Amino acid sequence: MNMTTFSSGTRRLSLLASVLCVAALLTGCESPDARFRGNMVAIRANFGDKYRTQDQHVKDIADVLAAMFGTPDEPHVPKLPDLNTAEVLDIDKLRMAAGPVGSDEFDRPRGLYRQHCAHCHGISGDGAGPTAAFLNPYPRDYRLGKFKFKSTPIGYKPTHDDLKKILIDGIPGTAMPSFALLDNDEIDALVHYVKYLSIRGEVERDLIRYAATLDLEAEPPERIVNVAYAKEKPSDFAEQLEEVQRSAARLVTQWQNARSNVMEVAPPSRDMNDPQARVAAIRHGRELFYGAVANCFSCHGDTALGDGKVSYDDWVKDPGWIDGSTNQPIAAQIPEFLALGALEPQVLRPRNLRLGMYRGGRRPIDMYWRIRNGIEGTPMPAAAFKPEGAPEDMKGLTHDDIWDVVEYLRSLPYESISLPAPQELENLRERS
Amino acid sequence: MNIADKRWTAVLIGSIGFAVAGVVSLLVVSLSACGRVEPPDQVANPANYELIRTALEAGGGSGETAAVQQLAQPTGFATLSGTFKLSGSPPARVALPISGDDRNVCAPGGKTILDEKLVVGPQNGIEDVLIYLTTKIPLDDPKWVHPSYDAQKNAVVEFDQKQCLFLSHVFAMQSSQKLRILNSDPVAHNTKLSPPGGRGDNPIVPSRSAYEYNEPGVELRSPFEVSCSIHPWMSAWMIFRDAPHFAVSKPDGSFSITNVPAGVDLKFRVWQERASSLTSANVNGQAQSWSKGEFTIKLEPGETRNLDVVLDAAAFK
Repeated sequence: MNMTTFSSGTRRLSLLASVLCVAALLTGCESPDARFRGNMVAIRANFGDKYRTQDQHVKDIADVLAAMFGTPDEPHVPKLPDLNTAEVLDIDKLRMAAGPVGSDEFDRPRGLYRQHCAHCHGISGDGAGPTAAFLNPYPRDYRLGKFKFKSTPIGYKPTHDDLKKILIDGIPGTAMPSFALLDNDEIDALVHYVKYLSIRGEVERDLIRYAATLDLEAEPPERIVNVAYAKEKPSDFAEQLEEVQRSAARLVTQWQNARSNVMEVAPPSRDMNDPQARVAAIRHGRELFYGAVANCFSCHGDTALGDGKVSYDDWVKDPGWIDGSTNQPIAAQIPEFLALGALEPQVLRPRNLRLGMYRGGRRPIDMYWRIRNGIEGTPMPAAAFKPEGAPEDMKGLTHDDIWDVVEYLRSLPYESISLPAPQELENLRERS
Repeated sequence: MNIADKRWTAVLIGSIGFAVAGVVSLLVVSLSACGRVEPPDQVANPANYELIRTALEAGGGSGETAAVQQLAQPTGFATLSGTFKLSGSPPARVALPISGDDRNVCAPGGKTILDEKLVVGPQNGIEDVLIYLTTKIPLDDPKWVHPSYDAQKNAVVEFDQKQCLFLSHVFAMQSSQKLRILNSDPVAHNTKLSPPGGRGDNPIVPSRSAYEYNEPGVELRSPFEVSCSIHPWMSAWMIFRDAPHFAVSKPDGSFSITNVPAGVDLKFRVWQERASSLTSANVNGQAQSWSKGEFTIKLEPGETRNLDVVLDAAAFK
């Protein structure tokens, strides 16, 4: 044996290896086709043990959703009585974001969502794209219709500008990058598409909840929509359509009203640029942080390092596999839900407030909103608010109290214990 | 074979082994990366969805009013009452994991507090079974909603918590009512509401204070879970209904709904936290099969119908 045969043999082997690898990679993962995926997790959650026998419902839901919202390549905006749906969902913007990546004959971009978002957030906006399982936190699942970082209180939709801000700024401390380099109309298009996926996903969940009250084994079977009724029983058909429309109309209205629910915030009475006033604000904010009314410390920890209570957010809790009393996943249910496409339950830790990294934005107003409104979909509650002119003994934070807490939080990353420990110098040559 | 040859053989075997291991591990990696299960694609039938789309765009339907008028008219009012009892032995209640700074308030003296998912009384009565009317009825028509319900229609109802437990583990209210969340504890709570389709909220309720949740406004098909993030073991279930015909069973399993429309077929749904979709029950000694916890009943005007409902322990998970 000599060197030549050895090296050519190795070369052949490595060639074979690489061919095999490429083949394995290609056969193992085809690129996902552009179809929306059904929310099987919600079907399982609503139908329990009987979720496998709901094929008729699954088909009807697919038909209704396609009728109202079209496909990933051909989005559609449902017409709803007495509502200007286009205000929330602009079809031209949706077309720009939908479909395969490319451009039209005027060189305008197409397929922006698949280019920039789908690999994490998924074609259906289920937050379960190919990369999702590797991320912490998981990408947002839009289908719950809940968004964390916004100017509106819990229970209200974010404004167009709230979502736009997230696309432009990204979310520090997560995998969500900034898309500030996209053109303004491209960002607008993506925001419209996120709203589209969110409304579509929420309608789907509504239909599933509705289906859970219907009995397919009844005679005739109770269905969400039965197209045969269009001719046979027009009034029943109309009734079925109305049920379907009601859900979409409610959601479109909520999105339309978002702007009128923005929490307007007056600036603090103290002049925070005045060092003495600011020190007083920080001192007062600290008292409130550890007080029984604001109660921040009970989750964010005595040290504000976020080492308080570990919990789960609404997206993780959604399948109903977290036991409400023990606050632990119900182990027996996990494999079944994972098999339906759910991601492993991921714990949620209260934010470490000493890092100076704020997911919802670092502007004082962003922090004010977090404290005053809470964070939707998470355990973070809204502060007990004491409006001006409230009775003296009412327990709650006043407008200025909240500003003082904001100022305290802003000072935390600069406290000496927040700063990284001085680096120990290694490999120092000893000199005598 | 000289030493050099031996060395080359060893190197050759080593590198073959290395290459094989590389291929195998890559195969494993590539397969496992694709191991996450993808839910199935939604496949719509073009003929169906075109038809539905055309019908929706043409204005959908104004079916509801017509459907309500098709219902027979009630001939009076009756009372529906009864008890829920369990046959067989219930699943064990577990101790709540009470910990944290507030444990002296929540579990004074370190006493054990059990979960309330299924509480069975001494005579096998089941507490906190929810029963509610699911038939859509015209709410403004006094033939359907007795005037005795007028006073409560827009009333404020209270939902309290003490010793880190919600005092009503199952709580039903009308969607037109207002909710006042109370905190009778010396420590703060937060009350997280996520009604599906309704407006979520999650206010901090400082000790011995109250929070007003403006009217829920939306009817829910089934209850949702209420929680407290400060005390994660706290759990309750809440439902908002348009019609006032609902009840939650008392500790002895008894319930009563007055002024139920009589002379018409009505559907009621029975819900319990551990058995959300009951399929069978023994009512007044007779086995009945229920659909998704629902049964149909027609009451005679003026009567008080008593239902002794026995539920089998096997239905409670």
